[in-house]
Amino acid sequence: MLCAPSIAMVDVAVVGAGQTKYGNHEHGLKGMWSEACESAFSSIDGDFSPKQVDECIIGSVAFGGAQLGNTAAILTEHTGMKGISTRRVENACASSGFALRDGVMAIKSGQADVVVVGGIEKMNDLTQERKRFWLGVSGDTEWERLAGLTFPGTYALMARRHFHEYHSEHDDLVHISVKNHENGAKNPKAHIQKIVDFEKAKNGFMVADPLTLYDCCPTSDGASCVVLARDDIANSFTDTPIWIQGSGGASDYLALHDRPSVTELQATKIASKKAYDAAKCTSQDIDFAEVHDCFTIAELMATEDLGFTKKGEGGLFAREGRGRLNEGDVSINPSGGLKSKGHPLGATGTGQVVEVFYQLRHEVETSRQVTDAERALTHNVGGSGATCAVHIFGRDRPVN
Amino acid sequence: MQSTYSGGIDLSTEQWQGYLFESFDGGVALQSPFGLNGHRVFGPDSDYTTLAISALELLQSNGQEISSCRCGDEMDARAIFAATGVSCSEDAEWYFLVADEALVVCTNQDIDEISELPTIVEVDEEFHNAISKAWDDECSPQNISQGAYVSKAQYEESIHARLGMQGQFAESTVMWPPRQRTDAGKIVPSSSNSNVGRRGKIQSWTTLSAAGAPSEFALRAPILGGLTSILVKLETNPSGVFLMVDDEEPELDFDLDVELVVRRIYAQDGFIRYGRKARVMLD
Repeated sequence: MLCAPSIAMVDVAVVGAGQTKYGNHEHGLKGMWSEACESAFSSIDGDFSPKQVDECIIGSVAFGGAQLGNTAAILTEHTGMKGISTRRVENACASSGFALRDGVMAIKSGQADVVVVGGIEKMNDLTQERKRFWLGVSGDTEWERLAGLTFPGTYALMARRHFHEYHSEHDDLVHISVKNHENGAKNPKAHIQKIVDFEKAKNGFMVADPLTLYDCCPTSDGASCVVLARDDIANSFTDTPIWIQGSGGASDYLALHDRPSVTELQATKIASKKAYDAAKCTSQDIDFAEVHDCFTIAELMATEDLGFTKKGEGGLFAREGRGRLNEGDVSINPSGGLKSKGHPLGATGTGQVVEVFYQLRHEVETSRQVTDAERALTHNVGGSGATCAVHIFGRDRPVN
Repeated sequence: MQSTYSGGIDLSTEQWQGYLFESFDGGVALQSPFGLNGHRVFGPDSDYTTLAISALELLQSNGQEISSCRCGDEMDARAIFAATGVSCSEDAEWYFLVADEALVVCTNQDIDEISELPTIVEVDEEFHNAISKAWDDECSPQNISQGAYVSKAQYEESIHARLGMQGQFAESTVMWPPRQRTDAGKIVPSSSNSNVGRRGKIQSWTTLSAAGAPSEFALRAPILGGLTSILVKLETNPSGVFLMVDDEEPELDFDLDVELVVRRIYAQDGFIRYGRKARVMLD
C-alpha cells in the first residue's frame, strides 16, 4: 500500500499529458522533451506554470548519443523547471512506469503537490553498429548476453515454450500484430501508421525463430510527459482530471533461466495484484489496457498475467479477437501498442498514460475511441520481466 | 566413451565432446575432426585450451585423478583450473604435448611420437579463413566495447560457475549461478558449494539472426549464419541458457539431452572468454 493507515489518504490525478510523435524524430533530447512538455502543459485546461512543479522525474535508459549522466537536470532546466528536485529513473523499458509510480508516491507522501513525470529515449541517432552495443543491455549481461541473447532471442525462448506447454501457435501472435497495427494506423502519434495483413505478418523476416519482424516492436525516438496533481488542487487545473486509482510495482529474477516458469511474468502478476487491490477492482472492471507488447508473445502472456484470460489461454484470446478495439472483452492497446505506436524505451510507460488520459476523457480520434471508457490499465515491463509497473486509472476519484 | 552428434562425423568414430580421441596407457590424445588442404584445423570455437580441458575431463571421467599438469603457453591456465580443478604447474607429473595441427596429448608418460587420426570433415576454406580473421580481430586490444559487456573482473568473478559449473546447495535447493542470499533471504554459507553437473534437457531454443546478435558476436554471427541459444534444465534442477557449439547443427527438440562442453565464447580487450556451450547427445 502506498500510505500507512494512520495517514490521511491523498489521491493523485493526471491533469495534463502530452508526447511527441514516436519514430525517427528530427530533434535531439532537449527538442523532444520540450515538445512533450509543451504538449502536456498546453493540455491543462486551467492556468499552469512550470514554476508550480515541485518535482520532476524522468525515465530513460539513456540510449542515444547525447546526455548520459544528469539527463533529468538538463531537461528540467531546459523546460522552465530549474531549481526543483529532479532525477532520472532507469528500469530499462519500464523506466517511466516507475517514474510515474515515484511521482504518485511523492504526492501521496505529502512531499509534493504537483509533479511532472515523463520519459525520453533517442534511439535512432546512432549508427547500426553503435545501436548494436545497446541491444540487450537490460538483460542479464553476464549470463544471457554471453549466451548470445538479446531480447528478441529471450522472448523467442518464451514463445516456443508457451507453444509447447499450452498449444498456442505463431498464428496467435500474428493476430496480435495485425490488431495492433490496425489500431496504430489510426493513431497520428504512432511510429508505424500502417495496416499489416495477416499473410504479410505471418511470413515476415525471421528475427529469432519463431518470432518474425512483425512480432517485434520498432526502435523509436520519442518523449512523453504527464502532469500529476494532489486531489485538492486538481480541479484548479482541469474539470476532467483522470484519477490514478491504483499503482503496483514488482521485480523478478533478471535472467530468464532463474525463473520457475518462462511462460509467465511473475512481476506482472504481483504488480497487477497490487494495483487491482489498491483500486478495489478486478480485470473484469477494465475497459481498455495499454499493455507492454515489445514482442507479440509479451502481449499474449500479459493478457494471462493481468487476468484478462486464464493461464494458457492467451493464444485463444488473441485468436478469438477478444482484445480487439470495441469488439472483444477488453480493448487491448488501442494506441497500437509498442508494436505499432513504437517503443522509445524510457518514454513508453508515460506514453501509455498519455493514451489513457485522452481515451478516458473521450478525446481521441473517433475511429479508435474506446466506447464509454471509464477505467483503464497500463502495464509497463522492464526487459524480459525483471521489473513491472502497473497502474489503474479512472474517470472517477478512487474509493477510499 | 559416448556417441554424440557431430555434423558430418561418422558416429562410429571415437569422440569426446566433439573431438576425436585416442586413449593409451598413461594418457589420451584429443584432436579436432576438421581438416583443410591436408592439415588439421580447429573448429570455429575451439583452440588448445578447449582441447586441453576436454582431454582432462575425459581422463577424469575415466577415474584418473590429476591435480596438476604442465600447460603450454597456448593455453589459458585459469580457464583450465576453473573448468577441471587441475592447476598448471611446471613441476607436475602430467603434461600437455601440443602439435601444430589442432592436437593435444595429455599424459604422464614419455612420448616419442604423436599418433594422428585422419581428419573427418573437410571445412570450407572461405568459412575457415573468415572465422579465423574474425577471432584475430576480436582478440585485438583495439577491439573495445562501446556498450554493456563482461569485463575481465566480471568474467573472473564467476569463472568457476561458468566453467566449473559450481553452484550452491542451501535450503534443499541447488542454485546456479551462485548468489549471496537465498530466496528466503538467508546468507548462503561458503561451505555450500555444489557442482551442478554438465548435462541437462532442452526446454526451449531459438536461432537469433546475425543482425540481432549482441555486439560481442558482431564479427562472427554473420559468418555463422546467426546464433542458436537454448534454455536447458540441468539434471540437478537449475536452468541456464547456453549457446550451441558452433560446428554442429542438430535438429533440436524439447527434452533432448545435451552436454555442456567448454568452447570459446568471445574475445575483447585482448583476452578470450571461455564458457560452456551445448551439444546434443544422441544416447
